[in-house]
Amino acid sequence: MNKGKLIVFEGVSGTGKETQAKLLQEYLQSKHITSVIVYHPTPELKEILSMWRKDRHIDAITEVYLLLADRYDRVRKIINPAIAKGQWVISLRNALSAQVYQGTTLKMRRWIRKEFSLFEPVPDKLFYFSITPENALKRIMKRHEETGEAIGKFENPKDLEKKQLTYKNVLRDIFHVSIDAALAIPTIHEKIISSLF
Amino acid sequence: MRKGFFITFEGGEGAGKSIQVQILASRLREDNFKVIVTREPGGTRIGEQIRTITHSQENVDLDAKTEAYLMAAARAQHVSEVIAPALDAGRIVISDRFVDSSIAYQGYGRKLGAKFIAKLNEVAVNGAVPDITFLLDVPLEMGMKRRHASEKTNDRLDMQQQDFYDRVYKGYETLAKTNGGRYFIIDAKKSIEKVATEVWKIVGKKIKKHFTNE
Repeated sequence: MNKGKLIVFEGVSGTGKETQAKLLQEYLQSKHITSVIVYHPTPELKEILSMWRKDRHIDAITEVYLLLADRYDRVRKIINPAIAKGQWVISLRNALSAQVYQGTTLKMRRWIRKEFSLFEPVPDKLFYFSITPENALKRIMKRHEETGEAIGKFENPKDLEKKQLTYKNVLRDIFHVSIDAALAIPTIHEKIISSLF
Repeated sequence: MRKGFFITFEGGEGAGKSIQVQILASRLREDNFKVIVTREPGGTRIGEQIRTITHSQENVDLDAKTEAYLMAAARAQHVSEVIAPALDAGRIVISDRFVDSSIAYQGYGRKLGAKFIAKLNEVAVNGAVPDITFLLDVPLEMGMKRRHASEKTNDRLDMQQQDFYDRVYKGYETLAKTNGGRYFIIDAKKSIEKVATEVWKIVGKKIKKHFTNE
């Protein structure tokens, strides 16, 4: 049996990662490949973090440790077993996000990278979705209105722009495929498929 | 350099840590020191909530490593919210358990490795290394008896638990040896008063030195 694959979609909120993950899953299904979509952080932790940021003054370092616990649990219970069974795992974000969002200094980014690298599997392919901050915010607000999903603390134009810069820094030494998130959904989907097969 | 003074109490179950923390704190307050008493796990609201996750019935299968990350999260919050600000303000902080508990219980007890736990917690501790750590040393059997004295249960440890607590005990011994400068082993078989007197002998001297040298 073939070993499965780990595909990671990264990028700021509102770049259409989840839409593309679902399209990829459908495509894989048509090829008789079972796949699992996982979120980082898990929706459960995302909810807790948003609550604790609001009324508990959670420390950035505390957040990193919670993200580590959350991701370690996911890797151990879902990602590694699925890959071992020959399935594909589509991960919406991975340890890169923690480096970008919680890593306020170079030293902290290095620490975060090191801690996650102890268990985080190296992706077979990493797609980075880039977008202008204005477009990202438009999409985030639309999703918030439609689904009631919590708006993250970094989801404003200034932070979105800063985060994109940090992404570029962090990604410099990592092999990845860059995706222009402003393109039409089917176009992006085709680009993803052609780089995977 | 932090202005305050940091004291931690470590040891197994039923060693009498919390009563010694109370006695020491009130003795220091009599001498007009500003004292903050705290404990782990917990110490902050986030810490308490994390504790409910690690102790919840739903999570009986919680992986040892996942638990270690969660404990480190609680500790990071504890340091940044309680311990560091108090030390910066020149207070005396007394904590019922701190990072050495993780090293003893998770590093040695649950066999994750002392080094792994110490390294993992480095950033959480953020330089808040205790000035004094008291290891209240009590034989396992006696500690368990004290712990359950009120419950009148006859629960004997099974072999697996016995092994676990033996490893924790040895872990503490190693910690005391390798951190000789700050570690004081107190024979906690003695009465509460006698233990308190020994604790005070050490704290009184060190505190005086610390606060007059500044």
